[in-house]
Parts: sequence; C-alpha cells; structure tokens
Amino acid sequence: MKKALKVIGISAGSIIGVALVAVCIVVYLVFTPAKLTPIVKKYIPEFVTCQTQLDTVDLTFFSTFPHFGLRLHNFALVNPMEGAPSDTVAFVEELVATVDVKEYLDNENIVINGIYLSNTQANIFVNANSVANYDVFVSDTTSEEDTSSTSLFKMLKIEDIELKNISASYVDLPSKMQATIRNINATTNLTMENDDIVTDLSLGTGAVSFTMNDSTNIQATIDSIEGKFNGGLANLSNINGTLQLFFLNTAATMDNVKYADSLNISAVLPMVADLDSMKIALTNALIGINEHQISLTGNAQVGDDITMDMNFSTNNIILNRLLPLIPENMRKEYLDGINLDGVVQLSGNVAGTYNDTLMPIISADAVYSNGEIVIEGLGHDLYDVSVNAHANVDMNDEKNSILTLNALSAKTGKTSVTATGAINDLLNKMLFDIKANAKIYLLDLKSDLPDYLFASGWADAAFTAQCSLDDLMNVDLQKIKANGSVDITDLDVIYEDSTFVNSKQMAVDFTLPSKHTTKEFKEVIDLAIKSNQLNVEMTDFFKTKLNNADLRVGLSDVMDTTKDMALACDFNIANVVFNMEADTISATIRNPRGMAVMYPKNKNTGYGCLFNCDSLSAKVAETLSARTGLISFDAKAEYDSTAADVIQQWNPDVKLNFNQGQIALSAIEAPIKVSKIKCDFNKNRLKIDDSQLIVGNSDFSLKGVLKNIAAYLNNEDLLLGDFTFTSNYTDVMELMDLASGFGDTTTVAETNEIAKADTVEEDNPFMVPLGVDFTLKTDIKKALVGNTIVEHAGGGVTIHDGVLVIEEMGFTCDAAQMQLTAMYRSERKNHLFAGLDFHLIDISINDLIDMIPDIDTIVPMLKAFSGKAEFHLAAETYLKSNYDPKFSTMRGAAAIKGRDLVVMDNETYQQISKLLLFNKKKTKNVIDSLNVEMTMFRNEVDLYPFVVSMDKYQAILSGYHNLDMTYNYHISLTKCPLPMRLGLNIYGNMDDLKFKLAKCKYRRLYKPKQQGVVDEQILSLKKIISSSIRAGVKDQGVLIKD
Amino acid sequence: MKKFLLLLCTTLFIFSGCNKFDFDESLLYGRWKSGTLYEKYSSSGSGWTWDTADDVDESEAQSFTWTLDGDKLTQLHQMEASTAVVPKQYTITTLTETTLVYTANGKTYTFKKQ
Repeated sequence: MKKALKVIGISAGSIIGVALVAVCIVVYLVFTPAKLTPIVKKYIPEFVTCQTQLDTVDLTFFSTFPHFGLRLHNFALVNPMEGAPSDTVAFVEELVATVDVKEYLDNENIVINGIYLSNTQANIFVNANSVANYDVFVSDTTSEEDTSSTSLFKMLKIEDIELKNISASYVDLPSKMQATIRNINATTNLTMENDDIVTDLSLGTGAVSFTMNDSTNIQATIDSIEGKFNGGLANLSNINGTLQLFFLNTAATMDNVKYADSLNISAVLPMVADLDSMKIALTNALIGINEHQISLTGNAQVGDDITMDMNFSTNNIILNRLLPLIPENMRKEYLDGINLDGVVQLSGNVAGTYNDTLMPIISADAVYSNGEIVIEGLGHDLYDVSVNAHANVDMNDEKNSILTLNALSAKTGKTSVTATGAINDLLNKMLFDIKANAKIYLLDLKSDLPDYLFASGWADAAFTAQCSLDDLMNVDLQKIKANGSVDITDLDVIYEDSTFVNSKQMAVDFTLPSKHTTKEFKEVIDLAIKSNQLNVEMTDFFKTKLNNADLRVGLSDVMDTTKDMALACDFNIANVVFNMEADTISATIRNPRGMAVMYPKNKNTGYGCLFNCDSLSAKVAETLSARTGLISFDAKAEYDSTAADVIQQWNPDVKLNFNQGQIALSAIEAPIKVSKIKCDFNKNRLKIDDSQLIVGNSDFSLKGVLKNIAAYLNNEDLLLGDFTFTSNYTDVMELMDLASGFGDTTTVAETNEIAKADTVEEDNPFMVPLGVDFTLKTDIKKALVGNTIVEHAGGGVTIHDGVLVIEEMGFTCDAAQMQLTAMYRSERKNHLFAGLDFHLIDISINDLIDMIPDIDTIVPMLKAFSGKAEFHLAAETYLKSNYDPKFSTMRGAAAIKGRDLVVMDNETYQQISKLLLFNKKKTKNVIDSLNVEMTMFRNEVDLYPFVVSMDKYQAILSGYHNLDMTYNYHISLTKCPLPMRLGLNIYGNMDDLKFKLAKCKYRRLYKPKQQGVVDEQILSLKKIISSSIRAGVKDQGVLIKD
Repeated sequence: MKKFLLLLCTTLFIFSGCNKFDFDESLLYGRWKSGTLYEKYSSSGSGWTWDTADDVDESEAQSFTWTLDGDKLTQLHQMEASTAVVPKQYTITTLTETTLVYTANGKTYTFKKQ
C-alpha cells in the first residue's frame, strides 16, 4: 500500500511539478502554447529518462474558471523494448490540472482544483530479463524530492479528479502474465492534510481480462467493474470508509477448469482499517455472489499472524441456485449423483488467530429447510428435509469441535424420521450421539432389500446411538452403542416367494452392545422380541404359529468376517402350533421355553438347546400320534460339515427327560404309554438311565447303554447295546413286530430269485437288526409267548448282527420248569433260520402237549402216556419268507425221560394189547421208566428203539413217520408171560392205522451179550442223541439220572 | 459128516449173519446230486447238503460230519441252536465213481456225481 501511495505521490508530484513550472512560465514569461510548450519540454527530462512527446501545453482560464489551469495535449512516454507490444509506455491525449496558486503562495497549501485526464493508454511491459518499460522516472531526484515533498505544502487538496476513457495493458514475460483493462472512468475528490486524506472515489471500467500461462493456466474476464470508496485515510494509515465493488459477469478458468462463469460479485465493505497494524474492522459488510450474500461484522488483523473476530451471516441461500456456481469438477467430485435443493441460512462467528499452528474458532448456526435430497442409487428421495444445527469448529484442538443437531427431520415415501443429537470431535473422529425417532413404512425399504425379500408393514422406531464415523462406516458393532425399540405392526415378510412371516403386532427392543453374557461367545447385539402372534410358513413344507412369543436374541458381531455368526436365544412362548407337509405332520407345544445357542466352536459350529415345555401333542399322518407331559432336554451339538456321516457331523450330546407320554403307531393297535424316560445321548452312546413304558400289552422298564453309534453309522463297527428289560407283563410277539426289519434293506425279490415273486413279494418276515450287538437282560414276571404264559422269565436276549438269541432263559409255568435257548437269524427274507433248544423238567405230558401242540406231530405216541417226565427238544430249520419251513433243512432231536408213567387206555393201546395178548385185567398199565430218543431229519422223524416195561411185559418200540403223518412203527415184545416173542408192525396213518404181527425185531437189543453190531450202533446213536441234547441243560442236577 | 454139515451150516450162518458190504470211501468224495438235492463229501469227514428247491444254494449248505462203516453211511448233524447232534444213518447199496445209491426208512436215494 505504501508503495502504491509512493507511486501516486511521485506521479502526482511530477504532474504538479510540471504544472507549477508551466504556471510559472505562464505567469512570468509567456502564456501562449508556443511559449509554454518548449519550456515544459525543457524540464521534462528532469523527471523522466525516456523519450517523450508533447504536442502543446497551454494555460486555461475560462474552462477552469475561476482558476487557471494547465493543459497538456498528446503527451507520450516512449520507451521501445524488444518484444513489447508497443513502444509507447503511456499516452495522454489530454491532461488538465487546475491549481490554486494563491493558496500555495499564501498558505503553502497545494490546492488542485481539478485534474482531468482523458483518452489515456498505458502499455506496461516487463521483458524476459524483468526489465520494465515503465522504469523511466528519475529515481534519485524523486527520492530527494520525496523526502522534501512533505515540506512543499502544508495541505494537499485535490477537489476534482476525473479520469475518462483510460485503458491499460500489462505484459509480464517472466511471469507469463497478460492483463488488460479498458475504459476506466473515475471521479474523485481528495483532500490530504497532515497525512490525513479524505476522498470520495467512484470508479468504473470496461472489460478486464487476465491471462497467465505459467505452470498453471489461468484465464479470467470481467465485463465491467464498478467501485466506490467514500472515506478517509488518517495519518496515511487509518482508513475509515465504505468500499463498494461490483464485478459484472465474472468468469475464471484454471487449467481449463471453469471455476467461475457469469458471476456477479459484489462487495459492500464498510470498514475501519489501520494500514500500519494491518487491522480492519467491518460493520455489516456484504459480499455477494449473484443473489447469495454473506454479511460480515467484526475485525481482522494481518501481521505475522492473522487474528480475527468476525461474525457472519448469509441470506437464505437456495441450494439449486448456489450449487450450479460450484465448479463442475468439484460438483462431480463431491456431489456426483446428488441432487440437493432447499434453503440454507448460515450465521456465526470466526474468532481467533491464524498462523502456521493456530486456526480461528468457528461457531456457526445452520438452518436447512424445505430440503430435497436425491442421491442416485440410494433408492430414497428425501423431502421435507429440515435441519437446525450449531457447529463449533476448533481446528486447534479438534476434540473441541462439535456439531449440535438441534433438530432434523426428513421424509421419504411414507416414512418419516426425526433426530436430535450432537457430533463431538467433529473434525476428527466425529463422535455421534444421536437420538432419533422413525416411523418406517416397510415398503419404502424395498430398494434396500434384495429382490428375494419382500417386507411390508409399519415400524415405529425410537433409538439412541453413540458411535464414531469410522465405527459407523465400518459398521463396527463392538464400538457402536445403541439402543431403542421398534413397534412393528401388520408385518408381512416374504422370502424367495416360499417363506412367509407375518405378525399383526411385534415389539423389538435392541441394545448394542448387549448387556447379557453368554459363556459360549461374546454377545454384541441384544434383541428382545415380543409378539402376540407370529406366523411362519414355508410353501409345501411347514407352517407354524407362535402365540405370545417372548424371545431374547443375542448375536455376536455379525460384521466380523473372520468368525462365523453366533446366536443365543432365550424363548418363552405360550404355545406353538406346527404343521408340516399338508398337515401330514402336526404338533402343538404348550409353553416351550428355554435357551438355544449357535456359535463357532473350534473350526466347527456349536449348538446348544435347553428346552422345556409343559406338554406336546404331535401327529404324523395316520401313522403316529403322540402326547406328552413335561419335556425337558439339554442338547449340545458341534457341527462339522467335513465329517463322514450325520451323527459325526453333528456330534450331539443330548440329555432328555420327559414323562406322561402317549404314542400311537398305526402298526400297533394299542398306544405306547411312556410314564417317563430319562436318557442321554451322544455320538458314541445312548444311555437310558430310566424308562417306564407300556407298549401295547407289555409294560416294561428299559435301562442300559447303546454304544458305537457313530462307528455303526460309519459302517466301521457293530452297534453295541447292553440293556436291562424289566417287565411285569410282556407280549413277546408284539414287541418283536415292533423291532422287525431294523437295519435290513433287502427285499424278497432281490434275495429270492428262485422263489416265485408273486408268492413272496408281500411277505414281510421279522428281520433281525443287522450291524448291532445287543444284550438284553430280562426280568419278566409274566410273558405271553404265542399262546403260552410263562412266568419269572429271566435270562439274556442277544442280537448280534442279524442273529437273535434267547440264551438259556429260564422260566416257569404251570406245567414245568423250563429252559429255552432260541436262535433266529434273518440272513435274507426268504432264508430265515429258526432254532430252539428247549428243556422241560418235571413236566406233565398232558401239559406238554397242550403247551406245544406240534409235539404231537413229532412224537405222536407221546399222547399214549400220562405222568411227569423231562422233555428235551432241539429243532431248527430254515424258513421261507412266509415262515413255511424248508423241510430239506429241518433238523431236530428230542429226548424224553420219564418214570412211573401210565399208558393211556385208548383205542390204539387196546388194539396193541389185543394183538400182543396183554392180559389187561391183570396188567397194570404203569411203566417204570421211559427213555425215548428221536430225531427229525428233513421230513422224517426217526424214533430210536426204546424200552417200555409194564408189569410182566417188556416191549421195544421204534420206527419212523413222515411229517405227512404216515407211520411205520414196530413193537417188539421182548418179555411176556408167553413163551414166544412177538412183534407188531403198525403203519398207515392215524385215520387208518394198520396193525400186523411180525417178527420180533429187537429181541437182543438190550441183551449186551447177544447184541450185534447193528444193535451197538443203534444204542450208540441213542447215546449220542441223549447226551448231546441233555448237555444243554444249565442245571444238570435237576435231570433224571440214567 | 454130520459134524461137517454142522460146521458148514454154522459157517454159512455166520457169514450170512455178517452180511456186510464194504465200499471204497474215496469214491464218496465229491458233490452228488439227486434231483434238486445235493450232498457233498470231503475226505476230511466233513459234508454238506442243500436243496435248491428250497431256495438254498451251496454257499448256504448245512454241514455235517460223516463216517462210512461198511455199507453204513452215518451223518452227524450238529445243530446250531443246541448242543444236540442229529444222527442219520443210511445203507449204501451202490457206490461207484458216478453213482451213489443209499436207502433209509424204506426209501431209496440215487445220486449222480457232479
């Protein structure tokens, strides 16, 4: 500024000097131009060093009355320089200066009554060596004159300065700058007294242009500039006045980027400024760009630091008028795809120091109203947006910067949001503390949801949130604090057009981070869900209805991509109705409650469920229905998708306890009643600690352990079971029907290629489970086996890989003590093995026949005896799928040992007695002992010779019969009162028995000294049969001694 | 003379009473078929029997042990579900490399070597 004043002073001094010289010449020498001009020309070189041109100098009086004036015509400074656009530095067509000489002479005041400068052109040029063409003034003398100029006058007063049609051009080669300004017109009054200047300046220009082609290419044009200054400069340093500027149609580009276009820039700056201290104070200063204005009131000081205390306030800025003024590149960078509208009004204060280390503090209020925000891709056009906010920006300590959101509201579709809060640490972390309410029309979220998800209904939400911007952008759920509630009404959700969820009313409370703790994982999200009724349906799969559901869901950090999501759910539901597959499966659970958890465990997924309910009612089509009382189970599982089979994939650990169950299976006429079951189950074993069941006619308690479950399912090992079966009453055949076929996958047709398909396809024989090794210790008070009631049945039942063995089971019935070993093996459906080893001790023969009617087929003559005996029977055969025996495989042996038996007096006996000449009247039909051995092979029964001693008679019976009940027997009478030894053949069938006397066949059999080889062989075979079959009796002490 | 006749008759009686035919046991080795009924005899004394009419093939055959004493072929069938042994004795009437004929309970069974 000082330099400018210095230039002005020097210029003014030079002009004044020339004028004074002219006046003097006028006064003292000549007053004609012819006289004055040479004089002026003579003195010009004392002020400028370059070539000058001056047409005329004359003295005016009338045009400047009442004062004399000096007028120069066509004055030019010529300083040719290479590259300069013109040799002329400056050309003045007319310069008129009117000086009050008397005032100077009387009071040493310089009073210039007027300066009129017109049609002037300046051509400023700086060559490549930074030599300027305007450097033509005599500096040395100027310096001396400058120092003495203050003493030339007491007061300088320029009453009227008028510049008209002044133009200038500027070319600076080193800076590669060019500037032009056309048609400057200015008027001013200026009074300078004792370093005080008072002026009233009015300035107007034509077009202004500026170009710089340095590293940065800048171009600017202004159609016109208008300016006014009204004020003063005290002590050449204190400015007090109002500066007004108006730039019409301003345009600017930098590096071909348009930063301003058609801007009308205005400024009205009432100011008080101290040039020494570089301090300025503004009062209601207005700076405007087009219709947008900012008002400034305050002060600023520029020194080593810049200090300021400035209030500012904008008018109502209409965004759709302001935003186009933002350079296009900036719009593209910051506002691409964003369309903003509305009215913004800002006011505030900037106070503080600006330097390398300090920044002023900004305090501002912003009001945004009638806003419309359209963000491309957001899917929501916001309208009725209003914001009332206050910001404190402290860039010295960014933590102190805060944005207070007094009110925010916005709408989109039918959804509306209101919020208040604050953003602390505004310039750094941006810590949000927001309280918001939203009434959300879920259909408005359609664009936010994937195509396969549809949601409708209303959500009335209220929530608070505290988080940083980074946390928010990263959705760092572990750092975001939030809680709130959402009331959802008329919820309707459709997932992939196949899953439907709806609820008339639902309340969801959420807390982030969760205050609950779960031992399996760290809960981050806490959801509390309450719904009077929640319906879930999957098309063609299931539908369920939850009444009065009260759920608490805890989630892990779902945004943590390094870990699988974890979930915990406490549930308490009044009742659940579940239907599946077109109502083929249905269940109603009353008051299910408990906790379920799913969480990453090792590299797998862990599951847990603690479940209780008051009752359960379920139905599976017409095949199963079940009702239970209390159910509780504690289940854990660890899912490993890489494991080989389902059981190992889930690795379950389940503890189950329920009671009062009733199950009906279509396959069983009577329902299954479960008084209680308490068991636990994992991938290796099922342990039944206690159970009380009634299955059909049977009641029993089953306890024990099932092992090797995983290995069995993986086909690596047998399924091992060790159970204790305690029962008051057991219907054996009914229970066998229940277990039939487990583990068997074959069909009759597959395994029975020879048999006729049409006769066996429908057969469904009992198939002993494969791949299992079960041991069942039984303690049955009373059992129904076929038509026989047995009591105190105790023993073991084993099932080993398709073989069922009833092992040495002892029991009693009315008839006898019994021991039974039975084997049933289902190798394939048309090749079933059945075998038994049956010992009846001290049994009534009549009861034996009643108990086993088929024994009459095998030993038809048995019914001829009465009394007690021991009976041993072993029989086995393979069966067809319809249980018909395969006679070619039939084997059997029987031994009967009795004493003091009575021979029944029936028709057959009478016939035999008659033929063998029994004296019936004198003969007691009691036999001392009976040792019968017989075998069955294929369809033949061989009766080995046995002795019957009755009174004075002894007979040996033998023979065979076929299973078609045709007989061929022989009786040798080896002892009788008669001298002869008779034999009798009996043959035919029971309906037509034939008796024929024959040779006595076994007269020597029991006479060791007379025995032949054949006799020995017969007795040997009898011994083999008898000893081998009786060896199976567990308690040998109960047997009749030989 | 009387003594000679008595001795002759006694000798004839003895021989006729001991009317016993010995068969070569080794001829029995192998698989024999009678209709759908099969029997198989090994030199170790083991044997197997099955009847395809009952949908039983050789792999499902039932085993036994056997002895041949003169013309008496005795099979001992050890039962699976019991300690009991079921003997079955036949009288062989023909045993050649291709034919086996035995009788029991008045029935005759004719087998052909397989």
